Amino acid sequence: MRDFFRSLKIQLRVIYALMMREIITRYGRENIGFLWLFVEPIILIVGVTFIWSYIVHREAHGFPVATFIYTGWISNKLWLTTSSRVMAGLQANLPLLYHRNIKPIDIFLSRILLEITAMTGVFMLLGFVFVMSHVIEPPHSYFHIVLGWYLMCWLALGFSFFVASLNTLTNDIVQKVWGPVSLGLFIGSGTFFLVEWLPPEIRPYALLLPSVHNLEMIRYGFFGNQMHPYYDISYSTSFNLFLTFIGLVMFRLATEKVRVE
Amino acid sequence: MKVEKYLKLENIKKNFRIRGGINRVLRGVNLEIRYGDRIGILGRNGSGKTTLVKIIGGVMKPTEGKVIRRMKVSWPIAFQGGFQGSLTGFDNLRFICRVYGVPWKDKVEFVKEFSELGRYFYEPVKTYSAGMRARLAFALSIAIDFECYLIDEVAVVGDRRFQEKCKEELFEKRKDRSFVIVSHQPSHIKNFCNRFFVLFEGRTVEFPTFEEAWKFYSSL
Repeated sequence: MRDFFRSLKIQLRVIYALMMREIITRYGRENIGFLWLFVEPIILIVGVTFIWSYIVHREAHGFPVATFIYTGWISNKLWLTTSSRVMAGLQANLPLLYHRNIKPIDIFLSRILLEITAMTGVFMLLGFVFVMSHVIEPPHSYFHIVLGWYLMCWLALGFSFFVASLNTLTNDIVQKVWGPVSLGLFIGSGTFFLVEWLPPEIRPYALLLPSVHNLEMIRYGFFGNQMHPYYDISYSTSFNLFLTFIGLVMFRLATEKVRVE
Repeated sequence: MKVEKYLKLENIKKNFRIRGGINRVLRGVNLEIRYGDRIGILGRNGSGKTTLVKIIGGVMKPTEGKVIRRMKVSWPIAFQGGFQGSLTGFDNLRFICRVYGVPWKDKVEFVKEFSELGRYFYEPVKTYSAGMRARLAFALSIAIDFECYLIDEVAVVGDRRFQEKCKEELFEKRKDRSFVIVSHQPSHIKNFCNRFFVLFEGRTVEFPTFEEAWKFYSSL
């Protein structure tokens, strides 16, 4: 038991060190530093929302566009960028395994944690600013937002392990097709649609992706009865459980393959 | 209660899969290192010296066998691969200290001084010359206090004066510690070690004196 806590302490220390390292590497120490983390999504959301609201049309299907884009964009970016960061991270940090305390799982977890923390921060901060400035309406149900977001974070974790391990096992084939695949998933996950807009016969197919369920939950949290949400918490949870399990098994196989120079 | 400090290798085997078969690099290495032992291992090129050091350091897993570490064992010192080009020497120091759970503030002066980087200590590593990188790598390796140092002699570089400095820092100031030095040259092993081995056909053979080890090694 004492050994367990000692190992846990070391692992937390290592993950913290890796996160700090990643922050400095990615955003540098000059000018606004890690605040860059917030800049990219803010520019995208403000830009896209602006185009949709003022140039295309002010309101789509009777919904406030800003809320719609804000929820869809960040929620789906959360799990997709996390996965791509983790996928790129293993190869880039391979030499660090020279330090025996640093294990591949620490590299994975540090990136996942950093990305989830950053995106959650962006989501909350932007939400706060948007509500305060009346760009979007205050949420109708925090419960649905938190639950949907939580399931999305879990999906980010499971999917990262799955995709990054698969990439290692297939000698970087996943990375080569990642562009179109992630774009497909981004669109297919409901970034630009509500399930109720789809023809009834197509809805079951759209609902195969757990991210669609999660996003419906998050959006319902904002819109309330302005929309009819389609989600199944047990489906999303089971999917996450299964994906995490498969991801960890594949991770195990993938770590056998990585070799330090 | 006094905790006994030692490091033990039990029947270490390491195979590498190569095209057209398996290369059995280590074929059952047994080695017990007590605190204060200064192990010198002579081996020809390709005999598995570096592999052995990496396995002792935990960088690499053996195919078979067990490594029991009851000492704080260093990483193979002066390793340069972990540098991220956009990080400064200072960033790398902080990273290493965090990983090993040492307050970095205590180490800044030492590493800055020892690596002779001057203002470059706060510049990105990608702007360093090869010599600067090597000095930083060495300084970082000894900034953390270990009970057993692993040295792959081929990897230790730098000009003559710097090498002298490294020698003093390691072999004089830390001579009470344990060392594992692998090399294909007699130099440091002869002068500094107190146990002598030859790595031969995937196993280590111990000799009572350096002369006997050297004689055997030269006859290979």
